[in-house]
Amino acid sequence: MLRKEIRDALKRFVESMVVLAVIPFMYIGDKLVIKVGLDYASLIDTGFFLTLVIFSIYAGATIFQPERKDRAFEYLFSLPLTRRKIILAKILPRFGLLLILGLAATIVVGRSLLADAGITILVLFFSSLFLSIGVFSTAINIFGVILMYLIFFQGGRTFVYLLSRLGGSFAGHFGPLVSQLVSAAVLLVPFGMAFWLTFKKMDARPLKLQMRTYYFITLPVLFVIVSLITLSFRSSQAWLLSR
Amino acid sequence: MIEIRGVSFSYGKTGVFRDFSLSIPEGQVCLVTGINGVGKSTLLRLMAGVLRPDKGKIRYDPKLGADPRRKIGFVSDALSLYESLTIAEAIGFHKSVYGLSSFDDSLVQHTKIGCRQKVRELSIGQRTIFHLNLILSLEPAVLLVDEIIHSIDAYLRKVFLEQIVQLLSKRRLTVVMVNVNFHDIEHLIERVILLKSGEIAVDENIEDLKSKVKKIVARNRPDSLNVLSQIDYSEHSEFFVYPFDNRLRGTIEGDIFDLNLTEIVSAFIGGEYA
Repeated sequence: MLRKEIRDALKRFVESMVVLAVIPFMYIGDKLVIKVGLDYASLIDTGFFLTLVIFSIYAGATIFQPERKDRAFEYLFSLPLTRRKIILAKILPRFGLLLILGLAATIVVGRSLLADAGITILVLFFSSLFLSIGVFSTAINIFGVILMYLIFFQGGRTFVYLLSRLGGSFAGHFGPLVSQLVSAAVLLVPFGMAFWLTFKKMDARPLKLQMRTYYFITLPVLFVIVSLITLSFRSSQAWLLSR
Repeated sequence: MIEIRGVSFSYGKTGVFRDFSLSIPEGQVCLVTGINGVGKSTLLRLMAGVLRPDKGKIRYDPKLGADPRRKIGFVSDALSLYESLTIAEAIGFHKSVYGLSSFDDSLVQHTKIGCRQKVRELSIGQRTIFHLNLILSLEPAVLLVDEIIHSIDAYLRKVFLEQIVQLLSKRRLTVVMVNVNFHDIEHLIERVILLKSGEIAVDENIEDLKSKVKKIVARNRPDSLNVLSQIDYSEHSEFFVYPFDNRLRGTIEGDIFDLNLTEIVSAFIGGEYA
């Protein structure tokens, strides 16, 4: 199982690398035709960042693609594999390749993209992964990931603001990091729980008949978070600007 | 042994089984039949563990181990496999999941399937044979085969059935088949289960069933007997009756004929459509 999943993850990895492959052509194109004066180092920097973003979404969103495309859920569930084994075999290679890509980016770019945008990358990866079971196309998944990211982004700000209203604060260097982590956890933990509970009970029935638990957990959570963000949006923005 | 106790199952709002129970002893070759949509394939999927009952339990012989799926060979009508893998990759995957050290591809060798061919490139017949070969390589203790074996040609069907006979002679293999055409498997079958509206309408040993279902050719309907279905001709009618009691032989007006399994099942199914 693991070998098959590694092969599958590598395929997605190579497909995501297209962005990096395009960079030299962009640079040459700029030198010869457009002549905007693109800086090669910043192109590489942006290229690696984009590849990380694309792979993190793509790897998560396509985790069940072989089963969906090949209609192989029935075969998968007939195998003597526990759900934990299946999910670990699917997540570990993708997560490992994401780390390898992050490290490669750090070596090539000369600064740690993972340190700068690690939480963002993790949020994108796990959002697309947790959405992959509840939505029925990769396109909708990507749209969902963008929405999740916006909620995560604004959620962090809202959280800091609400905390200040309660008299607390995240002071010091790690303040923004902690608020991002809290925002990611508030969003991803319920989605992760919904994902796992749904997958654990899943069988060969049509997927849309098995999503009750998933939506039962995720929709109220989304409603509460989005309501909080919306209700405090103006005041939190004003508070942030005043600082 | 497979023990189904009080199982309820539905596809959304469409109920299939309600408080359904069935016990299949070790080593029995069992045929599940009935009209389309009655739940035959669903029953097989429940036994294979790819569907989970909403209520009730399905228990397997403890000899099958902690995960009985390791010893259950299941070929569904969906022929679900990873289609994007090549034959060699699919075999490798299957071997690694089941921890097999070798793979006996004797069934596949009868076909023109190449190792580099992708599963999705196979015809339905080839795919069925490949799937059957995968599950036979497990040396299963339980074999669950849906009616998909009709899609393979007469020669390959014969080869497959020979393999089953070989397996049956070697050890106590439990076989559950879903089928509507039985001319070449009739000699294998020991028990017939006919499903009707998600319930067991008939559950008989094949010999008992053959002695209880008869065709009576007569002008008038035999009122003392339960007629499953009938075919009318200009001069006479054929009445398929169940249960037939041999003691009534002398009292029945008309000729009484024995039936083979295909005719018996057709009589039951014909009665349901009538």
